[in-house]
Amino acid sequence: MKPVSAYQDVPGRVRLARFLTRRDFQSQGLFIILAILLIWGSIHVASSNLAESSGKTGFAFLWQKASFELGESLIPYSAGDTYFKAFVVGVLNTLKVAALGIVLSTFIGLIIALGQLSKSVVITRLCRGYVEVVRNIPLLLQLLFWHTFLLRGLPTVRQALSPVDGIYLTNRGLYLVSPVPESSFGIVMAALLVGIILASGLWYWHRKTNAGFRLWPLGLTLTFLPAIIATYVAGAPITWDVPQLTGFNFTGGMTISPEFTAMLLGLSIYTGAFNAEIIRAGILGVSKGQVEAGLSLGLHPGQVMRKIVLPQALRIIIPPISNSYLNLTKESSLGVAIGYPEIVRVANITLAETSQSLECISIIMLIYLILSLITSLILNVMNARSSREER
Amino acid sequence: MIRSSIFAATVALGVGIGGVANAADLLDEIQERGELVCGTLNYIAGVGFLDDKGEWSGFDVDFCKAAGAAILGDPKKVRFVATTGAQKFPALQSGEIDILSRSVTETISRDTTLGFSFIGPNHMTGQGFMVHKDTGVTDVKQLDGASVCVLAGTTTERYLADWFKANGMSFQPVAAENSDQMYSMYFDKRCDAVTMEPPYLAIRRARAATPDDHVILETLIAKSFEAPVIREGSPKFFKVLQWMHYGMITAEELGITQANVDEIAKSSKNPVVQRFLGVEGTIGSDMGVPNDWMVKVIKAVGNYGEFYNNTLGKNSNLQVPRGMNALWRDGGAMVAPGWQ
Repeated sequence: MKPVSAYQDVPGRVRLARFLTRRDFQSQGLFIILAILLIWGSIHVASSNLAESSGKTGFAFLWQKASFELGESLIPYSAGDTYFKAFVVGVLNTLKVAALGIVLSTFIGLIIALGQLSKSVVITRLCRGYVEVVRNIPLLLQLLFWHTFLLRGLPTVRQALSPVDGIYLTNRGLYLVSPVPESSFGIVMAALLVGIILASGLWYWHRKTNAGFRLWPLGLTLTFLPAIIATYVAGAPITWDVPQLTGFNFTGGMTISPEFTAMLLGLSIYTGAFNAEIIRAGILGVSKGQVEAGLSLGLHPGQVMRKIVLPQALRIIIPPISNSYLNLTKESSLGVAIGYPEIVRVANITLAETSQSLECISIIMLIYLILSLITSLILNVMNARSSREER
Repeated sequence: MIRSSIFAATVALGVGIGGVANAADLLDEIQERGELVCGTLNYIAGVGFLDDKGEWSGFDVDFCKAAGAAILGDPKKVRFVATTGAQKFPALQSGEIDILSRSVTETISRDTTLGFSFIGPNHMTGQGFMVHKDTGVTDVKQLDGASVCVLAGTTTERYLADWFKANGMSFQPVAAENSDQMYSMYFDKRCDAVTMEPPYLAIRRARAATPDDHVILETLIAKSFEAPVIREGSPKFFKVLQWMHYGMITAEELGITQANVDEIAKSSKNPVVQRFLGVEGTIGSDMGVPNDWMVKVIKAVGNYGEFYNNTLGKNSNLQVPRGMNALWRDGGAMVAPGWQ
């Protein structure tokens, strides 16, 4: 006998009618219709007002020539390149400060968190004080402070501090020697690759045959010998570009600008305080029994921290710290206040040149949205991994 | 339920379409409203400044006061809104302000593509540089490789890049969000030079700890003719403001001042003066403002010479010479068509 189901016996037409009369369906449908109308209405109003007030809309301006300089850039950029390229420069500068800021703020957070949990009262109080002070001062002020501090505190170009030849510290930035690849760079790198492959082969053979010799002296020789020979034959793969004072500024080498340094310091120190609290909470969240078990096994406290507490604390830490990383990325937009050429600065100057404000602002919003989604995607994967290790 | 959602949809649609501004002349709208909204700046004394008593003053502010006197008969019927460099154009485009009087440099791209109308220009200057004396720079051409402080989002930033490129020179831009920050970076020697219109450079140099350590270079790399701006599409409003600007110049030509305007209006037998001050004819009312509008304007801020000298020039702390802003007959560039 067929199982009786009241639902199955009802004809489709009646089921549809029942579905349509359901309260939840009606209210949600209404909500969706209203939302669509609201969005459509705003777009309609905005576009017709824009059409009335200014002739230009759309994103075609991105391919026009931008006539402004941006100061620092990871890719070659100068006035006369397209607005699109300027935006790429801005995104790269945002990524640069955000990526380094995330690493540095995590490091600061870890140190301060461990400091707060230390047995020494002085260290505990100092770290606590750091967290309380830094967390409670607005980030913008901290950025302005670091920027002004670097400009006022460091010497001018002509009185540059130079601890070693080739390193100059001034209020226009830190000038360092930078490597310049020569024509032989490719050959030497290829030789190095050959060396690495040879050494891997040796390692594989050593493991297979259990040959009775020490691996590393021969392995190291095999790794680097081809590269050394190539250098002798083809010449040095890199030369050093040493910054020199020519006219107004140091030229050559590489420069770390005070704007970038202020951004990195400000963002890392500020976010570091939040990260410290997150990490501290994570460590305290690991049950005390785990620590005691580790100690009774004969591990010393450092090992207990590294091998037992931190891996478990990670599970608690990752979700809130991903929020903190997202905040750091978004707060890098404050760089505009001290003239760091990140994405908002590029958008602002483009806006002033083209007056296409809606377009420029929507570009920034889209970029931050994408950056945030990528960051949370990565951290979600990490979170899933660390959770899976739970037993 | 479904019927009510259709009703809601209609309402939403109605609201959406109702949001589109209808195109009446702004002049009528302002007179109906009884208030003129003026976007300006609040932190440069002599140009646009809000003091600790809540009083607005300066060249750009006075233009709006004059406009208030012309259109509403009272310079006090103006509400001032402080605008930032990046937000000044959106504020005007969106209708938040009626006039943008904020030392905006008139350029062809701004005039022809943004949907704006420029009045005047009422302040003619150019883009120059101030350098630290110890750099030994005496001419702009020696600035190759220099770090230059520049105000973000202004025409100066664009002209700077254009000029260095045209001359095959390089520079390192140091952008600042506001002019206080820009000058403070310059004085801290973050940059070798700072670029801006010379009158504003002079204002800052005067305030420096040691003014003699700074040199304003003579060469100008670009013209910078500053003008108040309004949205396009209000021909009456535009004509009133444009002729108010001409009127202030005409008043200086005719020797009419803040002090003697009432006297001259009463006693002058000169038909040109009578027409100008609205004693005779209907020039004002034909434009949509009272016939004696120029009397009100001159009583509010004076003729062009007084307007300039009281804010930027010799009667002010800034002592900026009139230069190009003198009348044409005195060798300047300020001209006005005839008042016939």
